Amino acid sequence: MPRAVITGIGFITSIGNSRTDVLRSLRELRHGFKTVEFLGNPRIPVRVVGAVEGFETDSTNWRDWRYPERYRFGPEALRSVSPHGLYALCACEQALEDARLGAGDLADGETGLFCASAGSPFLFYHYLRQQEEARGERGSPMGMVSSIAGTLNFNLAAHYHIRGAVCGFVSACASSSHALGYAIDEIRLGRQRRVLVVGAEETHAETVLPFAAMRALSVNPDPGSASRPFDRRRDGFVSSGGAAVMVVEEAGLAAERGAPVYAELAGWGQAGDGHNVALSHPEGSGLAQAMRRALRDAATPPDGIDYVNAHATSTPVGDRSEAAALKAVFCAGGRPAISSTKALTGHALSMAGVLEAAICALAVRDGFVPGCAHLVEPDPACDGLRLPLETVEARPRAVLNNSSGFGGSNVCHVLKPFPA
Amino acid sequence: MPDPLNARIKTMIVQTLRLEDIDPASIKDDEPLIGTGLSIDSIDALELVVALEKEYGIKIKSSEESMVALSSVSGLVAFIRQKADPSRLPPA
Repeated sequence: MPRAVITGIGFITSIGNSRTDVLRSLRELRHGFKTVEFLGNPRIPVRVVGAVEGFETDSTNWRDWRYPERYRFGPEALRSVSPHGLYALCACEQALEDARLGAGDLADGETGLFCASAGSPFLFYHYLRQQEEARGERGSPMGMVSSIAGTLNFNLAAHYHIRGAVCGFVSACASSSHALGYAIDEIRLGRQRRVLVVGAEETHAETVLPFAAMRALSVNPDPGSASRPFDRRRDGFVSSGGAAVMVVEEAGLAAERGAPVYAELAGWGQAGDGHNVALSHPEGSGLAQAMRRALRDAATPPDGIDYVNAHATSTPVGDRSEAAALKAVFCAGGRPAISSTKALTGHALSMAGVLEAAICALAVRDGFVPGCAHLVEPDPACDGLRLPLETVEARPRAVLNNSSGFGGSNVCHVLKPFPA
Repeated sequence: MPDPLNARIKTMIVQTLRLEDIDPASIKDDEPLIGTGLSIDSIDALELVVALEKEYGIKIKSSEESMVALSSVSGLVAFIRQKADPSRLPPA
């Protein structure tokens, strides 16, 4: 069976807009949070966000946007994207350069594109309002393709002339984990030799505040402690955005090209909670099953895992559920180091899965395990789990990446050094 | 004396399409707006149509009519004078 490996990574994130910066933030446990006032309303209690630096995308008009000078895109590329589409274009450029690929290499029919985002509620609302003002008689010709869920795959497929499999994935905070999982399958089944996996999100009020309405967001105003997964005093997640891109290739193709490999995507698994539309199962049953399936797929026993990048978003219910799932899976053997890097990045929603898989790839290649930033007083629900407070400088033999989304959708990946 | 509607339309073109390097006064009255020096294409034109309809309460009904209306600044001025309620226009 063909094996899937990672040959390129691109980051536009709250903790850095390059692999070098992200790596430094992870090792030194530097968070990417800042204080904001949504909609100019000081009464909104959510005050902290993980925003990307170097971009100005507050306007609904793409012509007003500013982005780092190393990237240049023409009107044809920008007029039909949303802010997170711009982040994704930049992250794709990084990932392609990292994988030693030119944009033209993607039009070979052997390359697919799997994407995940929530769309752009910011632009969608703007265009609907514009249409309403015109009493339905006029709308922007680019309103649809720039804002609905799927905008990433529409735009990137056109921009890079992708002729392979093109698809978007919608499972909320597990979306890009699904994209990555099915990319692995696509490679293993021999349907594609390369898949670009992209996750991206925005931190505009229109994306973030609906989560406040669910009481899922932290109202802690301190950027240094608002996101503290597994801590007893956690009170919700901190929203984040940007883009993360991964070039997944069949190992033989990577070898033919002489492309350096970060890690092998050794297996994945998924399972539903069958429980609630928004809340995790109290015992983490679906997540535990997804972990077991990923481990089985990767032919790796629990005691072969040295690090788990937890989904833990810093919500009281979700973290407790994941702690239960981790105990269930690892009670019989193995005591991996566990951390949630959302303590540093915030929760990047649909993008979280591929972002954290990319973080795991760096951990495997560069030989470290990020510590649990901002964890002061672990929740008793975590008793028995190994939650290192500092970064551990040691190469993990295998790592597990967890993601969970609305409706109890759980997805896990196993990454290993390659060659082993 | 310059026509205030002519000047307003040139400013709207620059502002709507963020043509930051272009002085509105430098836009020629009789030059085709689309596909020439201003690099305006058909999608930009649609954005311009939305802005003009909102400002002047007019309706540009079809792409054919829009091509006529957007033929040049002079053409646009004539079109708007013909279609818009005079109370929405600056005095000539």
